[in-house]
Amino acid sequence: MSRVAVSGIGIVSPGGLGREAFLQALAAGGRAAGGSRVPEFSLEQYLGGSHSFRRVAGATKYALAAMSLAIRDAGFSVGAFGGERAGIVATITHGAVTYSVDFHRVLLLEGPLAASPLHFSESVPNAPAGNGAIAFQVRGPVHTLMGEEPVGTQAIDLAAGLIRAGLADRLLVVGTEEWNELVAHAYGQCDSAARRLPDPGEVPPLSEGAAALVLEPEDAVLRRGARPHAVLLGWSLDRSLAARLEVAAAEAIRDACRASGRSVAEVDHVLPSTGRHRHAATRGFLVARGEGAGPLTWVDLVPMVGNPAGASNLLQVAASASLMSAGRVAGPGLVLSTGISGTLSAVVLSRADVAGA
Amino acid sequence: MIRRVAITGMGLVTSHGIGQAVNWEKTLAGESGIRPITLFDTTGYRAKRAGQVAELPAAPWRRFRPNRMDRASTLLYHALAEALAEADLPAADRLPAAPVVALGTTLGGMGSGQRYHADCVRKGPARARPSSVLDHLAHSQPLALMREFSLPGTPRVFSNACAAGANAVGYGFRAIRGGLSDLAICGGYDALCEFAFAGFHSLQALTAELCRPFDRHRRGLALGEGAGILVLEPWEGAETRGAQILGEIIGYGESSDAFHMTRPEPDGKGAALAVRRALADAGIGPEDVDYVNAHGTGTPFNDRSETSALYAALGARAREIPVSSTKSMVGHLLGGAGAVEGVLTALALKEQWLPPNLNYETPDPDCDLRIVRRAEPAEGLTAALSNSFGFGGANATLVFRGVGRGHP
Repeated sequence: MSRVAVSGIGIVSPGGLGREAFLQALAAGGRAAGGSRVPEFSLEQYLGGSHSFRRVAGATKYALAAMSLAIRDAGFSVGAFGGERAGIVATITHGAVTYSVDFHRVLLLEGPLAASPLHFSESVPNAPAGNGAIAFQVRGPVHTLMGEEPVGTQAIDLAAGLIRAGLADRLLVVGTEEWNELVAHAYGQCDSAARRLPDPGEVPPLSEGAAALVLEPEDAVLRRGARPHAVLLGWSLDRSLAARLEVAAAEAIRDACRASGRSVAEVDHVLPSTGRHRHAATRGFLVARGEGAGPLTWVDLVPMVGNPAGASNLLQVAASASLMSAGRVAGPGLVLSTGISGTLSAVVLSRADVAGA
Repeated sequence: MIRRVAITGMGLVTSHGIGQAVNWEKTLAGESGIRPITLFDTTGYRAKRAGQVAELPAAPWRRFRPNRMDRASTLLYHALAEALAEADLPAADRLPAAPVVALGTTLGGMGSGQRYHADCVRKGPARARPSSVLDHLAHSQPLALMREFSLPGTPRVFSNACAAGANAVGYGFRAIRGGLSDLAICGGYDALCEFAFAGFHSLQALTAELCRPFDRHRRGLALGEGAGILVLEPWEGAETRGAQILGEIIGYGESSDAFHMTRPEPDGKGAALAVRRALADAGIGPEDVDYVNAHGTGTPFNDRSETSALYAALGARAREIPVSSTKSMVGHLLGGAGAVEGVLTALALKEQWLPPNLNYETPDPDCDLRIVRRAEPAEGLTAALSNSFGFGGANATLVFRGVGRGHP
């Protein structure tokens, strides 16, 4: 069975828009000038004829730009990507909170007749995926998965399952999130209410952005003359950090490596989690790796992009694939993700020109 | 590996009540669960009624403080408890490895979110209670329920608008059929809250009159609330452990309209693709379909589009197959709709009765279907479709097959 390849990458983040800009920012020290926010941009730059999407929420705008970038990066024209054999799996944690808040504020202060239908319809969690389907004429499976940071791995799992089952030929997997003051305030209150201030290193600042991957069977990418950035070798997503954090993380990492046909010692770069409990997952990696393994590169995205919640995991995968594709690291790479409730995932990916497991 | 997928447990909560028995009794009686809303003040709204669960008992949480749990979690608790009890699964420590838990919802714990935001607006952010927002996010309810019922793993939370529940069931179905898991607990839920009500009101989708799907004088939908859960297992495994097999899922199809965020494609092309894919997946043809539990929201656009889709997918047979929308009785449960209607479809096959489509009086030439006006006995009812279509053009169709009484 053909491996699942990452053939296109689109990144919209505080660290830059587009794969090249993101890598440059990472090489320059990985600190975003804009803090937690994506720099202002016009969707028209990325999506021709985007007039009908001019009023979409931030989460949708980021997702549309990232998907458009990924489609082109994969070598498709935007008009040729869609169809009945194409799909989208989107991930999100908080959704279009800004529109939800606007809608509800008007409802509270001015009554139901003043509430905007646009703010409601664009605040539903599947608005990024639905608008993506419209923009790129995707008529196959279109899903939105909600969850904590590791939800991106669920999207990879679902998309890979659809490809392997022959139910789709190509999928856009996209994580997106918009920053919102109310959400940041609520998390701050919850931390405070917990009566034990978390280790500041465990609580990266909430941020925003989107990352999109085009996933296809590796042989299909090669047949159409394109070059995959990376292949997804294996992943683990059903271990929980609930009991002993490091132990669960180590087990998840071993599971993912086993599914990849690689040993933990072979991993040459790691993208630590951007979510809570991230240091526990890192300690779990060190336990799983043991002593005597080769050199290792750590690629921590937090200083550059903060924690874009539902977009974070796919942004990490996009970063690892981009680094391998650009020859900055050899691979295989390991992406770790953790969520506030103790959810956890690990993904192993490698360069496409390395014979597979 | 292709395996048959048995339904071994079901749970149901709607405005008809808690549990399959009361729901089925009121469904066959053609009783309406659409009633005046008491959860919030409806002053200023044209519509005043919805499928609100009138008496929702508190859930006996062991691991969580009840006052911190959203209404959505309570609805889900009752449906899950019924389904797990009926499935009579082994103790948690002897469950099959890596059970799939897949749930669909549109707005999760939005009721909690809106309370928190209302406090922020009225009292100031510093005085809003953080405990009120703990169960707000859509994945919070499934995570909490898995912990409460000692189910291992991480839930898949589909939020594909009104198709979400059907997509979650379809996901569980594929996991069992493909040999990825030996147990799937899947379904959907949504709770009534003013945010959702105001949203559909702003879209002018709510009817101030009776909800009458497919009727010429239909004016819109009635919202509802509740939850539906199905426990799925491989057929052979269920037989081996002596489980009661209540029905079978044999096909699932999905597609996207790629047309508009809130309006269905007028010719039903995308929805027809989902129906065709579901039939192909099930290995049956239009002549084998005995009943369609329609999405049937009661809006002028939806019902016309769904009729077009049924004709496109089923051909002339679309005119003969009995069709009903149970939303006419309990309202539109959004992310819960596909799962609740899936349970009702499975019950129709099990009990050999067709659920009615309430308030259908005047046929609409644009919806030329064989609408079930009153509950009908249907001996030999074998295969049925359940359609779910949602915002963003999400389409899902499930195919159910009955067991026993002459069924394979």
